[in-house]
Amino acid sequence: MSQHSQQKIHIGELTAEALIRASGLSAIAFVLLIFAFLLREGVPAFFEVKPDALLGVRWYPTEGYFGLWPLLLGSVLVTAGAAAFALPTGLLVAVFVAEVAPRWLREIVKPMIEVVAGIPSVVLGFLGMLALSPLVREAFNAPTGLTALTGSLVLAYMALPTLISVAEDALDSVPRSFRDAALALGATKWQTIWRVTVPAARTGILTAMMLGIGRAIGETMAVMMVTGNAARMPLTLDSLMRSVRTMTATIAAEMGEVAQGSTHFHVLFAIGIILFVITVAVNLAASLAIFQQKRRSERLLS
Amino acid sequence: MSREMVQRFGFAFLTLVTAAVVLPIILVVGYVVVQGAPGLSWEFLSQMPRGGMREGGILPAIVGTLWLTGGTAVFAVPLGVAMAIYLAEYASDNTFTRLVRLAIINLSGIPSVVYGLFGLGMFVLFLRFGSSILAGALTLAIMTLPVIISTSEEALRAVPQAFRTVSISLGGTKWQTIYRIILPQALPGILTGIILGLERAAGETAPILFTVAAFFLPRLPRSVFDQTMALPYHLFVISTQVPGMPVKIQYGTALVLLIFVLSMNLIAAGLRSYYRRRRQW
Amino acid sequence: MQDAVAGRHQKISIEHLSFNYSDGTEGLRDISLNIYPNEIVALFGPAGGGKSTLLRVLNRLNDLVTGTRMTGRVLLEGEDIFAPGVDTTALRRRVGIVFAQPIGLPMSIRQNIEYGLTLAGVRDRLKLDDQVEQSLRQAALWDEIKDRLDDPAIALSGGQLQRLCLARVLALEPEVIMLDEPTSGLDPISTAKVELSLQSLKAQYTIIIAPHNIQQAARVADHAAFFLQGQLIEEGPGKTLFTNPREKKTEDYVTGRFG
Repeated sequence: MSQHSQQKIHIGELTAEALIRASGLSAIAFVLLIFAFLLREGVPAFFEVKPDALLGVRWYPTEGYFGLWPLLLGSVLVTAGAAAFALPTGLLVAVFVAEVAPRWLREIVKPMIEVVAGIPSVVLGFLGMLALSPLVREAFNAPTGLTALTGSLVLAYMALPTLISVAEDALDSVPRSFRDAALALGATKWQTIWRVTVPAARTGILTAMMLGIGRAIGETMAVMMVTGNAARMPLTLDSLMRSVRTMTATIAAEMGEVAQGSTHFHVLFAIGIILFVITVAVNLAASLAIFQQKRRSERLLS
Repeated sequence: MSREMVQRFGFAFLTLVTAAVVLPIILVVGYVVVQGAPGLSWEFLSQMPRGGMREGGILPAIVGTLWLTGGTAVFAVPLGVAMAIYLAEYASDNTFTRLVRLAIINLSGIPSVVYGLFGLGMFVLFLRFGSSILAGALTLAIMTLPVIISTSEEALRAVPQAFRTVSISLGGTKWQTIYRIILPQALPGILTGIILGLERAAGETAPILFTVAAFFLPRLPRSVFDQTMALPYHLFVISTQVPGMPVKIQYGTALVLLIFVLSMNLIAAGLRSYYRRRRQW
Repeated sequence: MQDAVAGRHQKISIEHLSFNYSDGTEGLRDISLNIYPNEIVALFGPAGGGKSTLLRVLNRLNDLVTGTRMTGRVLLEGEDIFAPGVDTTALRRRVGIVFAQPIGLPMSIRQNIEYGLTLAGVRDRLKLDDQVEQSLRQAALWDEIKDRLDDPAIALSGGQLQRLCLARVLALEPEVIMLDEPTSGLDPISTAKVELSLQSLKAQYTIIIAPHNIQQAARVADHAAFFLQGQLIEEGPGKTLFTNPREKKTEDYVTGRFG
């Protein structure tokens, strides 16, 4: 082989490797960039608005009220409601798909759940608005169907596919030997599921729940279209039946009408910072759980 | 109650819950099809909206979504595949790699509206691209990276290690091994991941709200620096911002978006099973 | 390099080679061995003896494994293969290896054989076709598959696939061919075909084989070396080592007292 082509291959090799390694770095760069730009436009808010004003209970930007509590609690309420629906339901469906359903049924149900994962949030919001909220209004005799409850229902549906598939993976990876041992000792399949398999998969299931909640917190369009967007303080349980506004919906709805560089503009970015921090925290917690689980199983199997 | 009875009730309960979750999906999709199909016609797909968008078609929204999806692909595919190659073939098990993986997980968890803020801050304002297809596509691309990376990495790792050993033992370099054998064999899986990622990008509204989306434009976009309409944003607008919008048009738009997105799902699934059969290992 | 004592030209010279894996397990301990051209050298012994490790050192395939440590020297035609600046891809073309598990690359038979050549930049269609035929003949596979060259390699039987792997290495016209348990998964007929090819190949190449059983070692070896737990216990001519070993450990293994 000629010296020349040998050199060409060598240079090509080095270039390719350099580019690929640089791309690995870019992941970290992007996260830092996103945080940096959020800070750039959001931090001024903490100087332009007094801290106790930000902690106020009135969100009325046109009159200068920038209290964040209604938005925060709005997000909390809707997410909590979604979690209340989705966590138990998701676990039950995951158990069904992973442990109970016969193979042919699995092959039908799994794709259907994946279909939901593919439906854009604006479509679900649209349907929630036109089809679900009248139902809610009639069922509860409420003045409007655009409520926190409706938002929770739609959000639950959006979080379910992630939750179900991660929980199902966790259940699948429980070694067969666990189940076989329990059955050999005389347990029924039902008992085995709840006393052996699910506890064995509990870290993965917990991770699934955290990821599902993370999705719910971050959801924008669907909640914006069905929660009524009234920035009130949802302090009592019947707030479920009233309109609320989430942090995400606030940003989406108001950014279009805001003057660049204004205080309102900066506060919206500040809300973005809060959202960023919350989701990073949830993701870190989930990753830590997975990492610890791996360590534990490595120790067990070694 | 005997244990058998408990089990039978338990299984029945689980089946019920699953049905309660799955059936509405069928109902929902069916409802959109039934309500939206009457509105679908060639005119609907190929004409510009008229009469305050209460008549006519949704052509600019469709074209805009195609532009944005294409733009996302241009940025996200090379970078995402490169990152997957890095993770699967070059990265060693050290702190840096763990940080990279953590970063990717975090990117996948950031709310879409926060991506919109980032796009606004960095591409529209700081880099002065203005509200444009370029800004929107770049924002969507970063958002789409995690999906492409994780499916591509899985596809690369699935290629048997033995191929790498044989290739090296025959005098191949690492990079030669990757582009002669590993990448081609992983291509179906990578392609599936790309399609799934683009499908999500096509359906997103929040990231394009402040970076590119326009309420109404009288003509189609001509360059990457133009604003554009887009299907998801259009659906949002005609269902919340325009009074007196005919229901037929609303459902028709929803149906078009649904078909666009779900057909990509089908294509991805079809690719996956086709190549699985033709695999040479 | 001339052997000072016997005056023979050495193909490969291994000098006090020790090799450790990243977790501390010892692969090889102070191995010194000379390999002469145009011979079949058999490395035999129970599993874990270091035979595979040694083969992978000789073509630096062990470079792919992280965290290993090595002391000693390996010379190929008098040159240190671990010297800085050594072109490892060229080395691997000179010292080829056939693995225990026959692995067909996911392409056609013809492309499998051409693969190493195209990696090296050979593009001439005529030259490639020539090499394909020549290597398949040398591996005693040409007559069986000359009409099926463009079929996927995965269609071949185990024995044919292993001979394909041999042809793949031969296409690069190496100097040394190493075979790591090449017939462990093959039936007796395929095994015999491979062993026969080796006999005719040694006229052109130097062959190092690590057979999976001692009977194969006895059948093919011109020269043999007994490895036990990473150490070279004894070496000698094939004719005498198996029937009349000097060391007790060698004798115990050869007579089957342990295995």
